[in-house]
Amino acid sequence: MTDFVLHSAEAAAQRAIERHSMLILTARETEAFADAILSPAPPRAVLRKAAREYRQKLIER
Amino acid sequence: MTQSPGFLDRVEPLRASHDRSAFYCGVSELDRYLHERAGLDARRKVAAPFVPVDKEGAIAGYYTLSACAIRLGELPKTTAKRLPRYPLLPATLLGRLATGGSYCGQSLGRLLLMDALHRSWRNTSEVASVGVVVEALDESALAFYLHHEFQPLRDHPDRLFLAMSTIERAFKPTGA
Repeated sequence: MTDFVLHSAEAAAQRAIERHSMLILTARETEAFADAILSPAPPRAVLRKAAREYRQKLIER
Repeated sequence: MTQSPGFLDRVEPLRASHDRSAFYCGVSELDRYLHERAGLDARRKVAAPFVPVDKEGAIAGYYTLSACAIRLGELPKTTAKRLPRYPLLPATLLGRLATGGSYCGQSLGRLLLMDALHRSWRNTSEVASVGVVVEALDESALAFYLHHEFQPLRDHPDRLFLAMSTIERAFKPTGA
């Protein structure tokens, strides 16, 4: 019972996307989001390096 | 006893045989989720938990993936014309990501994040998704996702997005 109460309190405070299984964008966010999927940014150094290290550690071995 | 992520053997879907009770990451909500909810979510197909394990099968962390929808707001007409005419777009929610106490530092977190991104991207050959969405619940999580090139939403900077095309290019640098 205690756990249920704790879970409920925490769930109410956060994790809005999980609760609704939906991310609702504002008008300003929609514009930036449209740019992000219509003209996706190329991965920069950190993401490229992390992807390369991941491949070496868990795929190409 | 410290183990380096090099010791990590594989990342696999959570199964009943994994010993979840010993996992401890220090954030009580994340610990409790794995101990009490993850198995149920997996059985009900609400979220898919994945765990990195060592050669003995001990759990070093976990993350969860599920489908979610992105609901667009109003767009200027010129932009709206270029977008698919769906009010809801399919995306992948990286719901939780946690690393265990014996694997300190960012390297296991980064490896788990990359596994989540790689898996999300691989899944798009079967079920489409425009990108990966996360909700950062504290400052360190926010810094972690920003560092890995997620974009914060303008009006909700704790919600972040990484386009699937960007992920694809990270894993396929010579292709596309």
